[in-house]
Amino acid sequence: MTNLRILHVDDEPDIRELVQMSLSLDSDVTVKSCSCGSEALIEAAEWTPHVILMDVMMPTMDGPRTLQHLRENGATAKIPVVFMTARAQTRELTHFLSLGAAGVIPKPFDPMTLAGAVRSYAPPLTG
Amino acid sequence: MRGWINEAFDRAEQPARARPRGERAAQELFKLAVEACPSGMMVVDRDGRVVMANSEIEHLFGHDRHALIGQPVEILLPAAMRASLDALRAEFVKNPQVRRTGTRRELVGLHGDGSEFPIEVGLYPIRVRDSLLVLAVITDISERKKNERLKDEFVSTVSHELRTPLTSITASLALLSTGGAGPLPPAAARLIGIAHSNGQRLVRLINDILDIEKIESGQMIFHLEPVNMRGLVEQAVETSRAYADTLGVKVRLNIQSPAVEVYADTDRLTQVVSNLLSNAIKFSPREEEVIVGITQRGDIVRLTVRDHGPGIPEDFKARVFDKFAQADSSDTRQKGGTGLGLSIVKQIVRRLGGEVGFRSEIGAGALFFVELPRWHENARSRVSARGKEVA
Repeated sequence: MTNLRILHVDDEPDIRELVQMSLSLDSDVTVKSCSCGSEALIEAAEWTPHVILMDVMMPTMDGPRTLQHLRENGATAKIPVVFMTARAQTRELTHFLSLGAAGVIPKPFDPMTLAGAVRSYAPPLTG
Repeated sequence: MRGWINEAFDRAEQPARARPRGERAAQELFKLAVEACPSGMMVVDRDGRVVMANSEIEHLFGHDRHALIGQPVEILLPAAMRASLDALRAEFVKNPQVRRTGTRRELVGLHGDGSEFPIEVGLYPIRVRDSLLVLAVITDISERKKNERLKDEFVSTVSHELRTPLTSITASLALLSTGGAGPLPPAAARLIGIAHSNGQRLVRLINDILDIEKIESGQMIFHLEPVNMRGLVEQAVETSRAYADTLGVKVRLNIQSPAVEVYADTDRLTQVVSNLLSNAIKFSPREEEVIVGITQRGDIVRLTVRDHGPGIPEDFKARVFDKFAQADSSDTRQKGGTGLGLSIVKQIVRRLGGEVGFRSEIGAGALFFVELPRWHENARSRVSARGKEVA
């Protein structure tokens, strides 16, 4: 079975560590973490993850702007991006989806079900 | 232009003896009332010219009120706002009904020094013989706008700044309590479990407070559509089962519940059903059953949630749907509730054009019900007409 590659982007080091641990509960998942949008653009193009799990509010380049840059690059244009945010009211959810996000996972998240939730946005894996 | 007030002023020039005593007294009373009003008050004729203004208008707009008499009222608004004023006046002349203040009829005022400020306007028709005058009550809402901005910022802060650290805390505790970081000694596991469940309680409290704030400020958007009530309730019952299991309570949907459609917002109606279920489960003794039912009578669909708990005390019944209401102040701690769940239920149901209520006797449990209009083509216009489709 092909490992599911998930790129996680969040400026909070604690959240990065917790998401890494939570996703790693699924042994078929490989996780890489980035602390900002610009780092994520480079890593996404080089590593080509199956899914990008990304915070919305980050300094310098926020989640929506990072998503826009990912869409402009042919190498990353089709990677599903799932936002993870504390602003998970209906209006915000609709807005994020209209920007092209594949889905939204609200914070606080459930670490026990996080890997499954992210996997549901991944394209079918082969091999 | 000779408006009613001018006529009143003209008569005021006449010897006091020439005017009937009753009319004179009424004019004096009117003038006093207008002058004493803390809001700006202005009488405008149907051509939009100022006939009279009180001293608060002078204070608000920085114009000598006597110099305003006979001037077009447009001079009190910035150029960009004048089209809105024309529309407001045309609509009022067409249908001269009272438009009270406090109904969010907001415009922008233009001060004599060129500065702009938000105002709210109430309009009251005054019919004098064959002409129509308008009494405009104008309130400066700068302070209210500032407070609304502060509240929005506060909500945003609560939403993000509080949830972000809470994410780290609850996720860490969840991982620890489920052995994600290795086995724990029993006493430590117990303590972590307590911390975890209280962290989740804090998350629920924050979410409930945010929901209440959004509903009350009219910022909660309702996406109305035909919703299969039975399907939605089945889903909510399934979701609640894990919580019911932890308390040893059974939950079931009455199998005779029909598959009917209501006109509602799926997410918000799910919230209503979940809150009622959670409440019923929370107050049910172990091994007891919570029964959910759906019935239809005419154009009304009724959802019932019945528990076999201790019932609602008589002196608490009037406050059941109040915010932060608990029958016993110790209940909050004992039952882990926020005291906001039923208040949210009531507000959502009202916004959906429905009713909520309950029946209960001490020792005989409680039955909460929600009544919503059954979906059919006319339901959409009926709910929209009540201004309930979108906040």
